[in-house]
Amino acid sequence: MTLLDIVDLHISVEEREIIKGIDLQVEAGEIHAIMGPNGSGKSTLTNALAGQEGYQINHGSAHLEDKDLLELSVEERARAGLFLAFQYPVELPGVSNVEFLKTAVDSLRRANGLDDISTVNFMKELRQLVKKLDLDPEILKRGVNEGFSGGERKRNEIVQLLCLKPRVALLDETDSGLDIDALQTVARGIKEFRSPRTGIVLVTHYQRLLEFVQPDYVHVMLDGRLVRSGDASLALELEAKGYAWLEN
Amino acid sequence: MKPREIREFPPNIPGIEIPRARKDPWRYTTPEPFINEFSYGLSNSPSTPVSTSLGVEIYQFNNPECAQLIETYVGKVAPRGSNYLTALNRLYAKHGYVIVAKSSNKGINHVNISSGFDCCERYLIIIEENAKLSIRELTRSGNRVIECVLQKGAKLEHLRLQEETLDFEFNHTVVKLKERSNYELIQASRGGRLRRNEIEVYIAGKNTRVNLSGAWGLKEASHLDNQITVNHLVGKSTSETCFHGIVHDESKAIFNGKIYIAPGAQLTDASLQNKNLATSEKAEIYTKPELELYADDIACSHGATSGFLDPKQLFYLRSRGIEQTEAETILLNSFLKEVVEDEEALELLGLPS
Ligand SMILES: Nc1ncnc2c1ncn2[C@@H]1O[C@H](COP(=O)(O)OP(=O)(O)OP(=O)(O)O)[C@@H](O)[C@H]1O
Ligand SMILES: [Mg+2]
Repeated sequence: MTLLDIVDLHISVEEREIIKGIDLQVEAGEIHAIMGPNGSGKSTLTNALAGQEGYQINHGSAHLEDKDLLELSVEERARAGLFLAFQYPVELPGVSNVEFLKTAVDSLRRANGLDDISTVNFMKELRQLVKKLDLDPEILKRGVNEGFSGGERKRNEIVQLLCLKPRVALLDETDSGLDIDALQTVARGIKEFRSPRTGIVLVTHYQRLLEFVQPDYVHVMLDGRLVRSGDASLALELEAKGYAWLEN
Repeated sequence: MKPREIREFPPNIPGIEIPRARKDPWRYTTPEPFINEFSYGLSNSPSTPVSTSLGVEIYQFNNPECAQLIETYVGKVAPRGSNYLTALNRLYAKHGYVIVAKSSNKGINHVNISSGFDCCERYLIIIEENAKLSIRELTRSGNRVIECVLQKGAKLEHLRLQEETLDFEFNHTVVKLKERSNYELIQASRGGRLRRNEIEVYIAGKNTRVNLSGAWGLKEASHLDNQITVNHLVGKSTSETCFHGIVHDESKAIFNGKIYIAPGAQLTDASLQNKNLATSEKAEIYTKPELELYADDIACSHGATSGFLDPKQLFYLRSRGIEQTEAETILLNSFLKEVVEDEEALELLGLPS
């Protein structure tokens, strides 16, 4: 079953075309890695799919199962089952992690006609997740990402991923800025999320994460296009040769 | 206290200029309604201080027992008092109270001051050496002048709750701190037709600590003007001032915060912050931090910001499935909760604690 279906998508920012025609189908159970040089448009693609303002969709379509993502508001996309792990997660000073995540979980549940989750069950699950991601439980009392180190923020994105249980996860460089242990921790989190029902798009610069999380496909983005697709071995080839050989 | 007969209006008070609109410090708030005789003094519903604490004594100004205190302090807590509205308060005030927190009680004393209505009133608050006082003050309208003296080692916790009002309101609070004393203000303000708070703190002893914090949420055509000065007259003391406010609709918030560090007040640690959020294009914010520093071995920081909710933060919340209006509420509430934690203050501001 196709979870995410992107067809000939063109996106511009301030009149400048950044994404110049992308096709990507993610079937249930699959992991797709997108690699590519800085500024090639990877975050533009993931942010625009999540509904961030400031991007014009000039052409093409994007569906999550039968839902037309481009027709939905940001929160409706999340409720349809889309999750974006941000390349640069923002701080929300004073908004407690617990309050934030409980509100998010309840928003998703309500959209599916469910009652709010019981606080006891929620806290139990959240504490386990925080432990699993090797984060200090004290961070739950702090504001969302408030004063978190770069690596803590990335791990916190995976806590949210596992807590919110979407269908499709777009992970934008969740492996960047992690120490060696944290990289394995995040990889474990991603593997836990992986299931025959879910799909993952993994934006990364490094082959390293892909050793832990075997992708089914690797795509190369150059200047707003996916110029080459292959299996996991393509990542190795890129690591060895760089991107220049693909440019023509 | 006998109110004087006033024939001329506005009365001429020797040596004190009548404030004029559009001139500092009345650039954004028109002083006329506060000067207008019809703004207060006609109706007669003053506030009352109430306490059940053992260490608190409350006198009316005309009580001969406190004549000495009045003689010593009233009008003299501020070294350079030349505030016309305060002088006016003096001419008009029919009601005045002296509150003394006695050293004899080692525990914390409590006083409640209710909100007055349309009148001029004065308070003189003396906290004796090492005594502790917690004041819960409600304000709604009128012209209220409070003078506080914190003797050595004294502590004053001051919770000021400013209720929603359709009236004019002027508050002038002067606090003088002696060695090792500690003043904490938490001010929560709802909207008022025209509300001005002048807060002057004089640090006159070393090893003192001052914490001024406040939050406001203004709706419709409310107008709030905070004028705050922290004067470090001597060194080795700390002051921290932090105010956050939200303006909705066509409301207006003015914040003028000044740190003064006197010559020789070395080793002072002073900071002053004011952050503002607007939820409407029609709302207005005027904020100005000022520094006047005459000592060099000090740590001093100040800053003021104003703007709208950060679209990146909103996007983050919404991308987790939280509805736009709820996401906005979460961000606005947390913005105020960053500075104010007191439950009653949060309740006044309409924030779930
Ligand atoms: N909001 C924006 N305003 C202006 N330009 C933008 C904006 N967003 C993206 N761009 C431009 O679009 C191009 C692609 O940026 P994008 O962030 O998508 O790259 P990326 O592939 O994610 O790069 P990196 O590997 O560095 O994260 C860049 O040239 C960038 O400057
Ligand atoms: Mg990027």
